[in-house]
Amino acid sequence: MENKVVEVEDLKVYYERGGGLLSKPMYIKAVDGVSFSISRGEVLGLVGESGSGKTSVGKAIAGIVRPTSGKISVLGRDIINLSRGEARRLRPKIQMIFQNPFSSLDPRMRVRDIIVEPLKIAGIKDIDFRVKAAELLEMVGLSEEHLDRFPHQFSGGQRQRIAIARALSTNPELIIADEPTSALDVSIQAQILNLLKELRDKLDLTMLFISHDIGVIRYIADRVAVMYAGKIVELGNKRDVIDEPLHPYTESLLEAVPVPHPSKRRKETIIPGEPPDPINPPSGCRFHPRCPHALDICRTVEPKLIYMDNSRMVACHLYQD
Amino acid sequence: MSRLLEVRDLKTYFFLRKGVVKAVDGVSFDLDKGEALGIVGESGSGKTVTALSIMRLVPYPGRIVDGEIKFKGRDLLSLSEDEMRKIRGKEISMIFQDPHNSLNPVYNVGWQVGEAIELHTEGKPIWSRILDKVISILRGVGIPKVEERIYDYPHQFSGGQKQRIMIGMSVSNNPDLIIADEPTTALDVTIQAQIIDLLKELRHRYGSSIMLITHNMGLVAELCDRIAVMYSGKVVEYGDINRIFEEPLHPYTQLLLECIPRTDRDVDRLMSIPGEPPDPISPPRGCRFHPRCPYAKDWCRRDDIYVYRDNDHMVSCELYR
Repeated sequence: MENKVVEVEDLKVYYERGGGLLSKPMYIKAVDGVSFSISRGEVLGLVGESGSGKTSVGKAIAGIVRPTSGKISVLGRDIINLSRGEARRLRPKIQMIFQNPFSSLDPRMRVRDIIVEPLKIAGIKDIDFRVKAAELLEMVGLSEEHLDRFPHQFSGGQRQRIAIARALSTNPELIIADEPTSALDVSIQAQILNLLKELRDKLDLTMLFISHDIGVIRYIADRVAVMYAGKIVELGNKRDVIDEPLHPYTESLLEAVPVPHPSKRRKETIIPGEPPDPINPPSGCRFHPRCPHALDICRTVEPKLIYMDNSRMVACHLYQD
Repeated sequence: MSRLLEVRDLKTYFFLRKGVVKAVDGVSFDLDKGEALGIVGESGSGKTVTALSIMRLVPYPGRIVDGEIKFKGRDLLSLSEDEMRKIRGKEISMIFQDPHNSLNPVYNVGWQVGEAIELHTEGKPIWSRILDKVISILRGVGIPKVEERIYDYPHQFSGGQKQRIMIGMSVSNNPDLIIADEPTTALDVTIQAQIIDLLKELRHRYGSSIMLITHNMGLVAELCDRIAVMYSGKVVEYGDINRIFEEPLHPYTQLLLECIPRTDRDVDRLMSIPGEPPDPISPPRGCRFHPRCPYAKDWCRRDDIYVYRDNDHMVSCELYR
């Protein structure tokens, strides 16, 4: 399909741990068979708790980790097995914004160099980098006077703006934003979210937005995919999923979020237990040990992610024949 | 209800080489027996230093320079270090943000919880009795199979379980006041919900007062009876939880509530607070929020900002003069 910017098929990312002369290595199954696609101009929110594999999905698409198996194509091109030349041309079209703006900017580089570094890596030579950097800074709400400063002279919110400017420098086809506001205070978070939303409208950006905060996802995304223990358990338009969750995990996740109003105190129906060990996930549905609706079949057979209607998918035996 | 804690005009300053940081600058509030007070603010607002001042654990180069902290009628600031040590962990206990760093990795958890009890036991400690108490405490905070796990080390527990152990330790001597400083910030949202429910339950079981320090308005709404909103070392609004969430009076409180991305409703554009919190060494004159406040007038720069009081509701803002 032409309007699909990213297509991910049965992606698996395992990390090897331990293993030596006599012992076999163990595999941490961070991502264990994930498929989705993102259309042009769309923001897909990827939500999940720590260890659910959401960051590994982002890193695999950005080319920071090599997938164990599966297919990732960007604009119809397989990006896992690229030749060096192709990688040089395609990679700059995928940019990433990281969680911690205090560690994602090189402290020894000036802002003007940080912002245009992706362009230089992409081999672009015949432009005025200073002018380009100033343009980008303006776009993210900073100004030319900041060009010659170093990262430590900026606050967290401003640093994240610089990271966004850097990500925008190559006119990317896809931006992967991995918890870009989690390290910020809530008043600054709102500034950054509003900036991303404006830029998205202005530049028609396509984004994979990774977050543990469902409120943030509701604000910024069009569709949402919910991950649990390396799998997508539910996927659909954000309003459908958040207002009427189908999967019991999505439901309990939403119930656990405290709403900032004392009249909306949570009913005492929280899920017990903790996410499973990623080395030895439970058989069947990975959520079954914590699920209030678990059936016998959930212990043995893994539910497939199936379409409920033409936009909504869920992986749960309650909805399968 | 009777008064448990009275803080009056507390000032805790940090004397650095480049200047004096007025981390807490004239903070007053009360806490009744059995009540839960939420102290809310963004990073640097002084909420943690307020808590450390009550515990008399302000780290060097910080010092309590002025004010009064009355706990059960006694002035904590005039007690000797020995007397204070008897209060800490017995009458006032504290739960810290990061459960991974607050337990000692080289001692088993049974010993650590037991130590907290032994320190406050009169006469010669009898370990078998302490052990029984440790087991019943850990069972009470929801650690499964306590008898088998009591000699396990902190790294053998998950984050949520470690925080349960910390909470167990803090309630082991039936304290009158539990200060919880961001107790769930390091935890996932489903685990956070479990911990908040545990705090609620323990509060009812032991009748302890709780001081919850957090940046999360949702948690305050969930657990607290009263709220104090801090900004740049000062309490800008203080009062009953329902009133403040229903009709916040201070512009900072209003904006803070509006800039939270909500899971339960859609907004086109989030409110954001322009600018950044002030430099703590040279905060603005008058109301410290005035440079970011949409309603600021010239007189907000005056030194004596008007304090409006109505029953239990306090707001420090010129709008209500």
